[in-house]
Amino acid sequence: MKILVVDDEQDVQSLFEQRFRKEIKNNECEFAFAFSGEEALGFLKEHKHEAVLILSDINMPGMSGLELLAQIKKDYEKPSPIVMMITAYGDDENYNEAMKLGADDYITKPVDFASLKDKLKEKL
Amino acid sequence: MIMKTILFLLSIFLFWQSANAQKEAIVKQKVDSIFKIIAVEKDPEVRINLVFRIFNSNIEQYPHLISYCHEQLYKIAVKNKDAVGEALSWSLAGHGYRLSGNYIKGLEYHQKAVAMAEKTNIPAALSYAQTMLAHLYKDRENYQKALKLYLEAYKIEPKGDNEKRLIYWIQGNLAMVYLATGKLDSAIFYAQKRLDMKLSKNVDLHALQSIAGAYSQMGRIVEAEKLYHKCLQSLKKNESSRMLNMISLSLAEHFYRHNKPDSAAFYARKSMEVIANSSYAYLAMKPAKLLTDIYQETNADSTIKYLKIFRAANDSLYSTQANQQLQMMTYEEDMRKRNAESEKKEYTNKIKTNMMIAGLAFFCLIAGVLYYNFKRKQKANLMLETALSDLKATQSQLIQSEKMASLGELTAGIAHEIQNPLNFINNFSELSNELIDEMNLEIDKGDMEEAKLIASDIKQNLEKINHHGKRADGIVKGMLQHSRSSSGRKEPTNINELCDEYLRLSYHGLRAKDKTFNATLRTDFDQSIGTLNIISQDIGRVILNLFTNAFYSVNEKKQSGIENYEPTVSIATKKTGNHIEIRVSDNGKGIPKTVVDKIFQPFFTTKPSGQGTGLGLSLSYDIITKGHGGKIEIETEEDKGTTIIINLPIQK
Repeated sequence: MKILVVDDEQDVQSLFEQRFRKEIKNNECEFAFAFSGEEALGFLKEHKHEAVLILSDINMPGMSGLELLAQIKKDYEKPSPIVMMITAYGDDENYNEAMKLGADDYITKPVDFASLKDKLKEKL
Repeated sequence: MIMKTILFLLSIFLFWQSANAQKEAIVKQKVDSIFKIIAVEKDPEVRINLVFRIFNSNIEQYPHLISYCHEQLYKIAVKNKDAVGEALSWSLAGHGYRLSGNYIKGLEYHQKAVAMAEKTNIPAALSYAQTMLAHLYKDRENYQKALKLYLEAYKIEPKGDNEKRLIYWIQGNLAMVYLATGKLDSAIFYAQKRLDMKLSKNVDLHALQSIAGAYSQMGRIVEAEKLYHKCLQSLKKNESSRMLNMISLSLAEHFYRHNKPDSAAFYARKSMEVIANSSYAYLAMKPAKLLTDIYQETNADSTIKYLKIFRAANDSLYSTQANQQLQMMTYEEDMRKRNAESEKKEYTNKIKTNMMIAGLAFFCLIAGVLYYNFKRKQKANLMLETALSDLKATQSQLIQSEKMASLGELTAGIAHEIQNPLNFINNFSELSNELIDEMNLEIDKGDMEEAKLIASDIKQNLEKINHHGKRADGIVKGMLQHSRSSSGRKEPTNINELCDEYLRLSYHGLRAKDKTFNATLRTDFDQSIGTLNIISQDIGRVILNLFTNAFYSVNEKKQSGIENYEPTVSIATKKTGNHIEIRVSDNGKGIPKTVVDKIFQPFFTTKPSGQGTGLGLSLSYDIITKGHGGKIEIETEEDKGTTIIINLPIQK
């Protein structure tokens, strides 16, 4: 299964690769990374239906995570990929907006990777 | 010719004596009518004129009538509280005594008249009193004193009838004094002046006999006798005995001077006869002396006779006692005059002093006014200074609040910016911890290759931890720098890093406030710039402010609902010659032309009230131009966007 992580922070890639070291080693999951919303949409276009789960930051320059979410939910008819939002903004406004746009989950930073792993296992 | 004249003169003298008594009653009547007018006349000048008329009415012939006039005038003057009239009345009194040969009384009253006339401030009154006093000294042959008084009286301006009349009289008397003192040219001069005035329709015997006397002394006998002849022919029937005495004496002296003792004796005797048995008896003195001289060698009897007459007159007039008394009185008069002068001087001094005091008071007043103005200005200055310092305090407060406002804008951005590096630090340190456990396991297993692989991962993580730690540190430092007051010290600063840092801070700050906001950020940094000597907090504040404005503008535009609008904020740095150019651009709403000139003014803001201090660009302007000697310019087009261009000089 392929998971697309979208974040403008480059080190997120290294972080996920290390956090999911065993899972990657065991081929339990596969990660792809995009560093902006635009890049993420490009990836999705090229790799249709490859990614089944998208983890996206909200606060990014250019296209925001929420815009990306809206775009994905608009572009991809059901079954649309699972989109989970990860953000430092734990406020209701962002949460409600994300839920309205059809986000499948809403995770606030700092990310509890153990809980994330459980959620991923559950979703997949 | 002479005989003819003598006969003529005789007839006059005879007629004159018989008519004398009748005339007095007529004169008195005339004088009384004049007094009636004086009593009701208001104008002092007219009153003086009326008194002069009394003089012209032949009262001289009747000395006791003069005394009567004095009494009348004095009564009227006292009743009317008329100082002029009183002064004139004393002159009349003095005149009366003088004409009767009582010079002591005469002097007393004339002095009184002068003293009073001085106080009236009427020139004619004083001139008159002085003239009358001078007559007395002239009679006493004190010519020096007489001349002085006449000349003083003569100073009067010939503005009216009174003054002209006085001048006329004085001229006649000046001629007589000059004649008596041998100044013949002067005598003729004044006599001629008097004749030229033509004030009387009668022949001016006074002036004519003076000129005749002068000619006689000059040796111009024919001319002198011609004039004497004219005088004698012009004698009126009611001519005064004094005038007859005077002319006769003058003729006698003339004949005696030119060696005609018989004629001289004749006229000398006539001169005595006309005043015989009258109150003018003393006038017999001079002719008697002349007759004594004439008969001295030829006729002893006659000599003794006239010598007796001369002595009698002389004694009455020039007794030692009388002389002393007169001298005393003259002395006293001089004292009085000196006192009056010193009083006048004192008065002048007093006026001067008063004027000086007034001047001083005036200057004090001006000084007071100036001082008051100065004080007021000082007070105003103090108020202005207070107001200025208040303004300065308010300004610094405003600057501080502007700083705090921008800090507030930053806070959320900072929190977000710090959150990320902290997350990485926590994650990578946790992971590293796990990796070390794994590495130990591999070592225990003996898989050194795997262990080394893990070790390099750990090293990588530690580098990341360090990187993010520094990142967080930089953010905190930047925040502190921003809130701190400017140190004012220029330090080498990497402009590109500074711009990038504040771009992110302001972006996240705005995002923190408005979660739906998003914008494309474009950076175009000229890597050849290196470092620039700037006050980094200040320039950072400027850049932050420009970003805040740019984001605000694009957000506004986006919220107006334009389709396919992509909010974009760009920053570009460029080295051009010896300048660094920083361009902050947005594709926002732009600034209307109507307000573009005002945007660098303090307190100007396009934001709704409460959202902007209106100081951002104003402070930015000051920081760039005053603080760094640079330029800040704006390019804007409505609905297209705005670019702010900062130019900073590269300082060595």
